Amino acid sequence: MEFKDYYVVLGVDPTVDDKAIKTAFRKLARQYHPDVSKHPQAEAKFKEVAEAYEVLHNAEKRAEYDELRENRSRRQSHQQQGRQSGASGSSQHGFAPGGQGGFEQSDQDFSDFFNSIFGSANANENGFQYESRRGRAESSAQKGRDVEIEFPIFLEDTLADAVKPIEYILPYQDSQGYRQEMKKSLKVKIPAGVADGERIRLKGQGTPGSGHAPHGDVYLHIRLVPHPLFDVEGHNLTIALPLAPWEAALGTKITLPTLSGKIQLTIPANSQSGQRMRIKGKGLVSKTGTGDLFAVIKIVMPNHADETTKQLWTQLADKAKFDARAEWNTEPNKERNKEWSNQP
Amino acid sequence: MIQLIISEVNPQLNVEEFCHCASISETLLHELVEHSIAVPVAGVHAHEWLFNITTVSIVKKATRIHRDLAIDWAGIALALNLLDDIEKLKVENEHLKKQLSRFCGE
Repeated sequence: MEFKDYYVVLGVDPTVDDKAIKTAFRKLARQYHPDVSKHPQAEAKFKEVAEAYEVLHNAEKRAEYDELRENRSRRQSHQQQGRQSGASGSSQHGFAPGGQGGFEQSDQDFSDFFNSIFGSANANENGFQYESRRGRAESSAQKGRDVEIEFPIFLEDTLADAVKPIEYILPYQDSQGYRQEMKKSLKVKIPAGVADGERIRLKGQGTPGSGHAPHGDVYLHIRLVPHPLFDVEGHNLTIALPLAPWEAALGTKITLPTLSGKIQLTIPANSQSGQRMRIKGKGLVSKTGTGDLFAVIKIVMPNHADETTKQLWTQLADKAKFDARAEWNTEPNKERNKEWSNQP
Repeated sequence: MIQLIISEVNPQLNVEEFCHCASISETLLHELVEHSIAVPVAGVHAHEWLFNITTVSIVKKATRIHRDLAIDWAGIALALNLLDDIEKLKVENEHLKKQLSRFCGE
């Protein structure tokens, strides 16, 4: 087991007082707290820092840890001397405190290293407790812990009631106080119209309560899976509708995909890029009704043009008499340019 | 056999349910309401309050920050508002970037 130097983790000298330890912890906690930090390893870093603080801010634990730390450094220097004098050295690797006693089951938040010194039960008895550490064994009856699970769902599956299978692992403490896990498989009815960020409660499906208290609940945190074609705006959907320039100019009929199947859509002549066409009732289902689908026109040029096509474009350019940049020469723009050109 | 579970979407919780869910005392809930960290969706008097389930995660976040970073409730209310604003801007930015790539991308 790898030895953890808690002083290094907090970036403090082993001789510093409790106040300096607290200051170092607060600084790192602000940097890595999972609720405020965007650091990719924020949670792991924070746990490491919290574990170090847990030990070093408690006089008793700090004294115990310091003793182990000193013993280790004495052993290391002894081994080094042994090696230097040609001895084979001991087979010890890393750190094995307490005659390798320790606990088979590690505490879910503190490292094996911590548990091997202070025991997993000890981790739950002191001041600092992280979220998942709240579910300590209590002698009195107490309702089990609630569990929150991220639940990704496809847009298509929100249109009507759906039954979805779900599997999850529930941690719990057995009567001996050891951490155990149980696997649960359920089928859940997901009602039509669930939205991103909503929570679905599954009563009594959380961790078992202590004594005769009821189980906790499970909360499914709904996450809508991004769709390759549709974007969500409230309960409306948008889709980019690519059109060839001649389709936009002359109008056409196209087949448009919607969440509930394909439909025919008539594109009027002289359609503009960016124009939104509303298809009523083809959005997402919500409590206040069904949203709409907006097809946003995007005029797309062909990648290559052969000689004939080029000639036809040239003919069109000659006959159309169209200035695509006419708005650059409007009066307000001219006035503005004049006004700003007179500035010193 | 796999059990079929009946679910409730966004249930509203009374004070007792809310306090259990968020692992806080009723006294603390009053303080959090005072600072608008927890906002009841219904009920004029404290015993009539109902809270949206999504408020539980806000309150849990607030209590974690209070405990781990030693920030007072007024500071946490401000921090949560700012974090919420950042989150909304991030979502909006992602949405606009996606739209931009749909309309301007290859």
